[in-house]
Amino acid sequence: MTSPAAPAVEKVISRAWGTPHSHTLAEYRKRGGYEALKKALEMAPQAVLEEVKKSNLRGRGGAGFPTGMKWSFVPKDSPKPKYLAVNGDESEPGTFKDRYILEEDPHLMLEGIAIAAWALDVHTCYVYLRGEFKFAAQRLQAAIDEAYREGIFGKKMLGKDFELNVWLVRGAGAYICGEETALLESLEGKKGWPRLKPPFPAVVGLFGCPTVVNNVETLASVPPIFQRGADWYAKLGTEKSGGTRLICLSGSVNRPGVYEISMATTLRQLIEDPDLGGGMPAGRKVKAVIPGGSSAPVLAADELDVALEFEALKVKQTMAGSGGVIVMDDRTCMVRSLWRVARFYAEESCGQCTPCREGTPWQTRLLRKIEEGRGEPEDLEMLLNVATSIAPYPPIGLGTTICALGDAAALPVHSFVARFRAEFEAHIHEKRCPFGDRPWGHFGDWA
Amino acid sequence: MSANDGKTSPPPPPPPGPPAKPQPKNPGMVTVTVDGREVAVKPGTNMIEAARQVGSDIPYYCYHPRLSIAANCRMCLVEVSNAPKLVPACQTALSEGLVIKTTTPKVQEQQRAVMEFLLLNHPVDCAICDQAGECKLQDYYMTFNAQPSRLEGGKVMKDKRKELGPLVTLDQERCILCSRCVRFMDEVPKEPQLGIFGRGSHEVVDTFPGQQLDSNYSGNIVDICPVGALTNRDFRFRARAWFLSAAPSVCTGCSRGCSIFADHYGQDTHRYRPRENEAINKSWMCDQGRLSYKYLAKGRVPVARVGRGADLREVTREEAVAAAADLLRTHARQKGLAVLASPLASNEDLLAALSFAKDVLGVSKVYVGGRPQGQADHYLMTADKNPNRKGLAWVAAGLGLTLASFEELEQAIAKRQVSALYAVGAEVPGDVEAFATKAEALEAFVVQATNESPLLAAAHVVLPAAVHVEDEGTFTQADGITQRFRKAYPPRNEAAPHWKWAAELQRALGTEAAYTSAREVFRALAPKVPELASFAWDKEAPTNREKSGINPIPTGADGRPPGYRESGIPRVRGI
Amino acid sequence: MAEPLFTPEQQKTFDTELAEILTHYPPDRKSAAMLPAVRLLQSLKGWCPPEGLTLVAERLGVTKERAYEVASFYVMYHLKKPGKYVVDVCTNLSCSLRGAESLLGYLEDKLGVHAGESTEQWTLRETECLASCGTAPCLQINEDHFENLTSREKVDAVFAKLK
Repeated sequence: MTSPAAPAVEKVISRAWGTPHSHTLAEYRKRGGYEALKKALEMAPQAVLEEVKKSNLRGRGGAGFPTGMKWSFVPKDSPKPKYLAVNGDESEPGTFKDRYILEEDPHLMLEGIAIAAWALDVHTCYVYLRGEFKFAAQRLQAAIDEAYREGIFGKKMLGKDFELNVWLVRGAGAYICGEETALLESLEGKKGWPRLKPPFPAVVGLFGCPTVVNNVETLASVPPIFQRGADWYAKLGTEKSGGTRLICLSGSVNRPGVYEISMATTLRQLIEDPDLGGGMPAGRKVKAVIPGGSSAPVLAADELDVALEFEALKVKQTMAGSGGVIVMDDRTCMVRSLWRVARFYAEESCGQCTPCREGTPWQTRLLRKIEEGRGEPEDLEMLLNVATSIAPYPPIGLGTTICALGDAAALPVHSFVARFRAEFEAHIHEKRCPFGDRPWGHFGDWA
Repeated sequence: MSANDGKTSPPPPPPPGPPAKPQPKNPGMVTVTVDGREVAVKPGTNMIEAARQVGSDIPYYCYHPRLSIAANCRMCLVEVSNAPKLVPACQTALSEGLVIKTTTPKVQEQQRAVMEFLLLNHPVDCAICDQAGECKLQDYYMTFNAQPSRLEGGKVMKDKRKELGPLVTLDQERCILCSRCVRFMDEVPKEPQLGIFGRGSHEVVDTFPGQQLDSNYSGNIVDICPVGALTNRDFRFRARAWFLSAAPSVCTGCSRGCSIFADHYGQDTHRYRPRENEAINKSWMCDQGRLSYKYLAKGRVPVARVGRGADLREVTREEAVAAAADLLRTHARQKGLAVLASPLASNEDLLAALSFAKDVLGVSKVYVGGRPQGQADHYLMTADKNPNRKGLAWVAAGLGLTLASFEELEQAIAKRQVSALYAVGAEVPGDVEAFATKAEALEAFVVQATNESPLLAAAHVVLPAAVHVEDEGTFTQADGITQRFRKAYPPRNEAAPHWKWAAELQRALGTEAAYTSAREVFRALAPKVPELASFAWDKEAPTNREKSGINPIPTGADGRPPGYRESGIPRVRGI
Repeated sequence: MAEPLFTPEQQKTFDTELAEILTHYPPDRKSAAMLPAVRLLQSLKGWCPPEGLTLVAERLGVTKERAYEVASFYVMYHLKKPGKYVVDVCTNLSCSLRGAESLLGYLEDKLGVHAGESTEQWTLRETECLASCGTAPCLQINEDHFENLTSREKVDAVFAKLK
């Protein structure tokens, strides 16, 4: 058993959150804002890119791809314009960190955009923001306007002959647009059907031009790298992954919310630490935890001593994903939980390719049948068979679909059934949900 | 190890970097192995096509060689040596030395799974579906799935029998959302009138609200729809696909001359379908052409007849030929005799008829009849609604005849310069009623007609002519490409091809005509026409083996309708 | 004669705002403005009528089918006229764990409309994660977020202002 207290860590992204007017340029400047950009502008673009590589920054959107490497895939000699697209389509259930960054400290990301633009020779950046984020959109637009007024964006960047235009584009309600090629389609004014790959966006992206797609948190992590140095940033993290992590904690814990933690923090520490999750509600025990957004395979209560970090979670056959940690306590029905997750992917399947379009509603239907006590013994095998047909290599996926949504929908099914098979079987044998069929809710008036 | 050991440094290690690309085994080609068989293909060849070359048929729904790659059906997933997961054969580029496996258990399981997914919300209403018999869901089910359904409960309900436009009906429940139709409309006629609306399992193919699918190319989406979602309103419920035989033929709707199949049953053509022809129509045809088959049956002249008005009577072929010969004999080699030839007739018809006209009737010019000019469109359809104008020009020139317009004929008749007319085809590019009135003045009017027309009332002898599907022959389309068409069925009733009537008239007038088939006509007379002389009539014949329908007991063989079965003891066929 | 799509003032707003949106994109990529343009249409009309989508498509140089594909793909665009207030209740896992199912039931009773249905006043929908998992349960009324709805009083307070 590890210590209940999480390792201390310096806050890099969230340090200004909650302070008065943290979202304004004036306050941001007081914290040393846009100093990192000044430093970066004195460096050659290639040196900026090397610095990011050295920092071991990895993408925070879900896949954890090394950011410096992603940037280096952009062809240097392309005659076409290059684009930066910021993925702010945060929709993975259990994830809400990017929204906080944009609402509390939008300039941190905007400075990251400016540095990335300099490194990549990008002159147009589109920030694709989830359509439902009205408040975040207002805050971000205000911050962009400030940056234009203060000579950061526009014809000259801090006096240097470098033009950068940043436009905010709001989505309109489609989870799939968080997939980077669907996001590009949506930016091009089409429905969000993921593209066939190859070619990858770094070569053929927005409007057919080389494009880098980065997550909001990823870009918000860039300015600290230049303020304090890549070595400092790398040391904050683990061997293969630099910096800190934002974790979105939700579900059955005393203190849900976004926390910036060291990557050495374990899941158990996250839940128990009084400054973080603050433990479980009185009398309750952890039953299961989803560690990285609802598409990440679930972990059981005895698997919580794992660091919330890309490699460690991979060993446990799950993933760090988007940092959405959902805690389920011992009153929670796993079948119903999985049904909720499966329903989401069925709702959000774009409908382009067969296994996902037809398989995700089928999974949902089978789960509902089992949850409502109508399940038959063969239904559980059929459920696993359907999931395998979408993603034939559990637990790693390698799905049969065009994008990763198929994997995202199928892998939770495998992990839930693998860990809680007895509960699924109990539903089928007892012909009812052992937890009762009343609506859920264990908090406030809904308890 | 050698004389100067220790004095020179060892060779430097190879520079780091990606491993060098393997040298192509066959220069200029990509060599891959499909199911253990090696095949060399041109770079850029699709994996499905490469596999086909060595006899491995990879199944697919959304792929179409003439449309962009969608890779959305996921039926063509195969195992390859350079990827850990299954890859879509339609999309994945071939690389030198690639090993492709199309029948491994993983691939078969994937095919089974995709079939099951596709049938999940499909109504499986084959018994009342027009596509049955030519449906890829049916075919692949038998090959790749053949499992009883595991699905219970409801299916997603969508619109059925939705009339998208004048020619196409949509059943959204049967649709497997392969997007072929949408891509076709976008990419080929470039009239994107279809879209996939909604998302997930509720999405549907449809038109914009209130918009008709009125493209002149809408019929093609019925052909490329792999399932029964899109059906042809003209063809719907007219014939079961397995009863139809397909004769390779040519569309006679306009001078484009699209290659087609004439799908027929007995002596009825039920539909035209485009036939692959890279030089002319790729895999497509227009809707006007598609519906142009109707004249093959509608309003045909069934039997020969002689006389006008009250004297009109039906006669045998022999009587008709004799009557026509009598009329023409008196006018042969006289100034008042004119010949009208239709550019709807085949080269063989024209070769025989115009040779007769020149050598026996002694004319030096031919008036050009045919259908009036119509509309052209932006893609295949031309304004000239006659399939063989070029052929007529070639044949006339080759035989030493000059061409004159139909207006000149009208004027000549009005001025009484023409008093006798031999017409090969009754179609005229003008006011047919007015011309019929003028033709009343003719002293002799012999016409070989396929279809009824007001003009025939003015004729002294009407000889029933065969349409193109009732005989073999060639047409030369607007760009000068000559195409062979095959015979679908024998001429209806008493009809005979134009060349045959011409030959019989020639014989009746005392001159030998040494041919008894279209092939022999071509052999005997084409050498006179330079453009046709080099055409290899036999070699250019399209293969006739595409599809042969099941023919049940023919009507009348036992006095019962076709397909009739008595309940009880099974009857032996034909008794 | 059909009623015109916009009032003259609405037409003016549409024209000026669309012109501004188009400055964000390369001149040969006007069609990229589809999402903001449909959003603009909906902000003026309350929904996306076919004539409006036809207008948007014309202005962006694409066919109306492409506009309809977009409007039907994204859940925030309404192809049918919704109620005055569109109430989206998140029932995804995190919200459900904290009572969203009961919240939805309470709203069905309170508003007198079933989830997935509409009255002139209310459109009530179950929706997917609104990224308020840490402040669950939550709902959204015409794009405005309301979070931490842990008691009936809090819910009543939100709806008290809406008439």
